[in-house]
Amino acid sequence: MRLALLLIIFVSSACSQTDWQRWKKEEISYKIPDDYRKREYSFVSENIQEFLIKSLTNTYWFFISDLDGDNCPFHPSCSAFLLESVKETNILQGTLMFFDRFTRDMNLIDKKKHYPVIKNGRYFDPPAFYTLNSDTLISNLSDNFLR
Amino acid sequence: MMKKIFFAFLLIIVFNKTLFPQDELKEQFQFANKLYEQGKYFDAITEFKRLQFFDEKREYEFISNFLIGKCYKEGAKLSDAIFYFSKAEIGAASSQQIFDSRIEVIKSNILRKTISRALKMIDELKADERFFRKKDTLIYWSGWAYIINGEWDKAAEQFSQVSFANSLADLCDSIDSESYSVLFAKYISYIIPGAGQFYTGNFLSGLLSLGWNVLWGYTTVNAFIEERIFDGFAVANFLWLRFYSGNIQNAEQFALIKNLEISNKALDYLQYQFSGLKP
Amino acid sequence: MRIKPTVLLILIFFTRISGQENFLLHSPQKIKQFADFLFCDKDYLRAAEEYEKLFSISKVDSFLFLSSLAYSLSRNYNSAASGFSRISDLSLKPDAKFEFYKIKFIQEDFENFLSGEKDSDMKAEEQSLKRYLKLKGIFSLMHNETLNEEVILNTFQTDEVETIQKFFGFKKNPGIKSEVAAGLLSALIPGTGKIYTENFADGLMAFLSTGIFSYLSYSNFKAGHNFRGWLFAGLGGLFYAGNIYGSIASAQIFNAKLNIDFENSLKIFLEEKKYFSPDYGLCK
Repeated sequence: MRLALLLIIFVSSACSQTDWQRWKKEEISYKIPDDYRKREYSFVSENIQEFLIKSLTNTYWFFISDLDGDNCPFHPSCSAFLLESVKETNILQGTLMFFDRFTRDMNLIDKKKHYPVIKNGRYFDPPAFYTLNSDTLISNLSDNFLR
Repeated sequence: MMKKIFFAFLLIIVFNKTLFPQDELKEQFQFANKLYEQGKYFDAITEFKRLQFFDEKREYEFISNFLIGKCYKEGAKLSDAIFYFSKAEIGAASSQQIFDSRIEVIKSNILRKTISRALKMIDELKADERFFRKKDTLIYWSGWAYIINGEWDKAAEQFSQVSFANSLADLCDSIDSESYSVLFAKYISYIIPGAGQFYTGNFLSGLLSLGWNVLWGYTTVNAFIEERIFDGFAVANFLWLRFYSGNIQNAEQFALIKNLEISNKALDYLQYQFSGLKP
Repeated sequence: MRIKPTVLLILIFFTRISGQENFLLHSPQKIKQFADFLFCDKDYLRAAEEYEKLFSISKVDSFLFLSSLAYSLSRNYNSAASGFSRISDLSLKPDAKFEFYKIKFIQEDFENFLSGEKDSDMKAEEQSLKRYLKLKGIFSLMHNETLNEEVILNTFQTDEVETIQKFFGFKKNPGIKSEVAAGLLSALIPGTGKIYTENFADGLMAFLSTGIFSYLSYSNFKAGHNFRGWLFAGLGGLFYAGNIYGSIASAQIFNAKLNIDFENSLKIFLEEKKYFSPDYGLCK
């Protein structure tokens, strides 16, 4: 037991600095974290095309996606990806991005290698990687791919 | 002349308790402890470390490490807390001190939600003859480990063994009976699609699930009756099966979500309103 | 000898009020011992605060230097930079100035970092200037400045040169993929653009999806099912166009990852070298 204790202490003291900033009392919540996927069903949109896509997506979510099981390995899911893509670009580019994503979704090989970051238990693959804007791409990649 | 020098020294000694190193340490300990009590945990750690640094005889080794651990715990820095509680254990002078530091490590593990570690440590202590008389305390904390893990039935079982934890046993029991059975929700949805959703109060989702399954089931059967075998397999495989398995997944998930809500409500109560011993 | 009451009072005053907390463990000498211990124990933030206390009591610049160094090591860069810039002791100034510009480099405040070249305080000592020039070399590598390889390599020590040469090698031949080529390839044969960017299975999937929908469309038109023919043609077309788009995006991602890898290896190198800070010999 003593040996194990010494080992713990030795291992932790190898990186002994922990207080990088002054800190204060902090409450530790007893609650169990809620990791279940939540849908954003609101119809709030900035323009008509966004409203149309959002209505379509909501309908798809409500009548199909929420009922046919968990089939999407990605975060955000394909429908949410379409929605965000249209929001970030335009309806044409968003559709192209969606079909590319759909093709990648069908590919079952090597996902771990290509999408190393896991969010909500899924491969993280946000539209920001595919808008062809190199600045957003680089900042998003370096934030999310600590390779 | 001599008289005056003597007088001067006397004055210095009277005014200056700190000429004695042991008193210096004591004063330092009190100072650090005061900071701890005032909730200035970061500074308290600095002062306890200062105390340790000058405490050549290691008289304060246990208590300073123990209190540093407590400070880190207050700051929600549980790994650091565990590190210092373990250091305290090494400097412990009695089996009571060993027990106290070990319990703090267990409590930190409970808060850190590394429950299996906490339970393993509790088992080790239960097997230790030195702590034969402490069984109740150990059972009490294993109850808490199960609470934080949301395993209310196991928690109730632990607390019912301890005379001073009757109210907790009752509470855990009632939470357990309030909870939904995940397996039941799942199995009834195997038999009647949507039933598990109804059981957990998600009526709309249950109806829709039932609707899809009836529709695709009917289409499949119809296709086979009309001997459109390919269509039958395609619909069964790509549509019916998809919605059928989705229905079971949903039933299970709804029950889990409901239980999570119930658990979290109880945990919130325990954290902020329950007045007994907590991790 | 007569001891005057005032002398006596001063004596008592000094022994009692030697530190802010009124007892001897907080005397300047003991604070120094404790601060050195914390520093070498890598508890840098606490060490910084102790050295700061010493500086506020004594106004000796070496304590300000130590406190700034400890702040820097605990990544409290603003406190560190402000401390280093206040140092006036001539013997400490070149090192302090180097540390200051190093922080500006880490904070990516490159305008201030580059102004170091004109700083005569730092240039006063050859070693500090050399260290600064090393950072400047890395800066040029990072920011695609016109590079004079020989001049930059000369500033580095022999054990560092090999790594730096590798970085230059990457700059000369980074192995990037052309976005235009990726797009054109996928336009000619669906999926090949993705294969070009080394996403082999994605490429195959793109080829299959476009192929299957084209075939379905063809066979439906042939069988006279015009609506289904158009529907599958439309879907096939979207997969085709989506794949061209995706191939361009994937070339872009490929290149961005190359650059990020390069920058990461630069960063790792810098971390290993502690951004060329000297070992001040504080902990033995």
